[in-house]
Amino acid sequence: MFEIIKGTNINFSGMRKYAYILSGILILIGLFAFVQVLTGKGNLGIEFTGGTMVQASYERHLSPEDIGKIRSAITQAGFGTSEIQQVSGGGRYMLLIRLKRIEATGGTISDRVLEILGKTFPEIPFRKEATQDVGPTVGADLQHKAVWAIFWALIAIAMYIWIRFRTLDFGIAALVATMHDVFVLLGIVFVLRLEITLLIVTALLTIAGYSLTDTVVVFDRIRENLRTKRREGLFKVINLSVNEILSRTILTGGTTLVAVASLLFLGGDVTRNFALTLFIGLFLGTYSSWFVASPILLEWEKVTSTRERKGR
Amino acid sequence: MRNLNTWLIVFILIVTAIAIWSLFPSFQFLTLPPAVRGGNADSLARYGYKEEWFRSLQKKALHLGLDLQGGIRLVLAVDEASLAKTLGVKQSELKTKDISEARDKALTIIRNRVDQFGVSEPLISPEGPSWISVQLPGMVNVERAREIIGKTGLMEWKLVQESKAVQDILARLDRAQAKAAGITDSVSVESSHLFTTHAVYDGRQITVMRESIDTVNLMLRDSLVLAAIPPDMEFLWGRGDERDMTPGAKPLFLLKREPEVTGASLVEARMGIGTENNPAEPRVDFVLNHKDAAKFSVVTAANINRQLAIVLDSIVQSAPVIRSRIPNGRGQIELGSGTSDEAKDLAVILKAGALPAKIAIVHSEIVSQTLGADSIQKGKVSAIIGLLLVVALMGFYYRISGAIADIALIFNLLFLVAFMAAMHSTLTMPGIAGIILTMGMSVDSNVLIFERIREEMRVGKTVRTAIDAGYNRALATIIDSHVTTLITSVVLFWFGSGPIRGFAVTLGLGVAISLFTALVITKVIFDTRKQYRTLSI
Repeated sequence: MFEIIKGTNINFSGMRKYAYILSGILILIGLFAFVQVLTGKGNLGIEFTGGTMVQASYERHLSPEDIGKIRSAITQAGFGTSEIQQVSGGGRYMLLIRLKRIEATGGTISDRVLEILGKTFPEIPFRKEATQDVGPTVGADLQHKAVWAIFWALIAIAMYIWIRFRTLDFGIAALVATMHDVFVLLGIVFVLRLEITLLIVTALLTIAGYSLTDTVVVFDRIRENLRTKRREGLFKVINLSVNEILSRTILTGGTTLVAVASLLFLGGDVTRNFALTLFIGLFLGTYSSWFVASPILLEWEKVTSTRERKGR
Repeated sequence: MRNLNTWLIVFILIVTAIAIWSLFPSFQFLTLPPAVRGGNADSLARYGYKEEWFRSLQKKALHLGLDLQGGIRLVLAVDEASLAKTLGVKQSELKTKDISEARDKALTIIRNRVDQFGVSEPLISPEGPSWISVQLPGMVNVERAREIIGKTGLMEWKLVQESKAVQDILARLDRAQAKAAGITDSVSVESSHLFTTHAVYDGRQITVMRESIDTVNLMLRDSLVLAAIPPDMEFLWGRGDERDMTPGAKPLFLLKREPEVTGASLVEARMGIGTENNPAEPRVDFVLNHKDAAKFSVVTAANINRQLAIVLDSIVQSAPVIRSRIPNGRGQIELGSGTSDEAKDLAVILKAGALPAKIAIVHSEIVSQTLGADSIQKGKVSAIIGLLLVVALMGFYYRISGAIADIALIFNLLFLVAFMAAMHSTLTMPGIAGIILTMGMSVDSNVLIFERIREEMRVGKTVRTAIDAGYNRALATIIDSHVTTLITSVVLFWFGSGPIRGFAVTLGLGVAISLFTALVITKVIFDTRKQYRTLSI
């Protein structure tokens, strides 16, 4: 039998005070990010805001001054500020140009941007690789859909938790831990200045599912141990349970992590931010079952038991 | 027990055979040379493949999303202002039903048009209450796609105003412009030809030079100018490539606003070669339906020696002088310097019928084939490396038992891709991400079981009982851990569009299939031996 983790006895519950401080700060950042997104100040992708994306490849490196030239040419053409990024790979360079919220029906702005590119550097043969022109109505529609997707996912998760646990303490604890992860992850995405695209929203929901799974596995073990070891007290039972399944947590987390890492480092630009969000989220999902979900059970018991004592 | 196991093995073998069989066309398709995969008739012929064979193979093969094979996706919306005009109501009075009816009609027409252009595997479907989503895989010429799809295809015949009326209106516009420029002195107003310096009238047609086109367009939108044009007249541009025009210049026409005839439905439209001026120039011949032909006959009889403009989607194609009554409803459109491809396209558009209203392209997305191929390559590499890492990790930690879990994982992937091919789902880049995530998450079942088996063995149970107890006791947790992922997948599938759906499908299916592979297949392998003295776990 090969075991990395054997008979551990880490005092997870004892560390909860530090976790409260950390989680408190992260949640505040997450809430701030949430408000920013709601008020339209967040870094929303063009698929939500409407706008234009142009991706063109070419063979020589462009200096920051060159890119500045392109940027001012785009502004002069009346398309406002643009976000320009140069990435390289396989001996070719790729220019990513993003314009937000242009008052025009979609379809032609990306062509105009390509035209501007060609005029600014006539000697470079730019090759059109991808374009996207999103009209404001389509963006608004997608925003609407994303909000509903998050809403229904959370409702479905809450319903599942209720069916699964039936008791308020476990249910609330699992729900809080899941929400904690979604908000904190949103906060991290915000701090990293990742563009919030539909894929990022997808990553948030995927992590909500993963985090809940992790919490459910921990809770199952806690309930199982409570049946036989109630007398040792909840504090000890939680610590015992988390330690008992530590190797499962680490192994499943590990396999998922290596798979996501492979996507992150080898999967290319399309899925990079998505994979990065998942990667961070996987840590969060495990963290929250140890340091958010389980401690809530403890605090809950404290509150109810003091209430009982007062009642007597 | 032994007996049950045999049946299970047979069942697994049958499922595997079906999976391989349903994957075979995809395998055949993906091993074709990339140039052939695009479905271009020329390259098919060059490599010696029959087109029919290719089309049927393409239908059976796993469908690749636009992000992986390149192509165009457009979302079209019915223009409500134009629909209201067609129906003769105010825009605010439009009902949702009117819009969705127009949408459905437009969808049929667009499908007809696209079908005739021979784009392979186009996907045209309604999206939401008023949109149409058009996917043209492998097509990258967006200009042509927009022409085919976005053109309303409404042909109208409008009378050109006679020269006296034109001169009168132009003089009015000069005065309106002077007023707008703040000139008040009446002599200066009369001598300031602010409009006619840009738009020059020679008694036959108004010509606007290239550098003045933007200025004239701006002037024509000015409210003072608009007020100076009588409500029953309108200015429309010509194509700009007419004969004896300075290159870059465009003719401007003053027309009667009300069309004499509207050719929303033509009996026939086809490309022809040869016009009055050039025997090699392409043209489009058309035949009006009976009702319109009768109207046309009356109009032509009543307006001999006047110019009658053929207007297509608000652009004047030509404005020939009526020499005599045209009784049979036949006519032709000259395309000037247009190519025969353009003539063909126009004929198809005219024949498919006019759209019930203008169509706006509200979203367009283009991915080049090289970028798609690049994504496939990166997806492939990261999936293989991800798989190897997961397989290695499981084998390292659980030894032979881990290898059994790895076998189950490979079955999982096989079934997943086969199921997608059989269901004609589309594989996208996020879909590949879903597969990669599935690989990491679906071994969780085996991890949970193996950890249980270890625990049971630690408390001194025999290997056999430990295995059985491990499977039984881990089951509840396994189901739990899968349900949560399935919930997110279902929600994402419901609300997600395009690529997100691809992710939801692969993740959801992958996790669901893993319930079978990680539980049943591994158990079957463990059960091939009745007694264990030791277990490599």
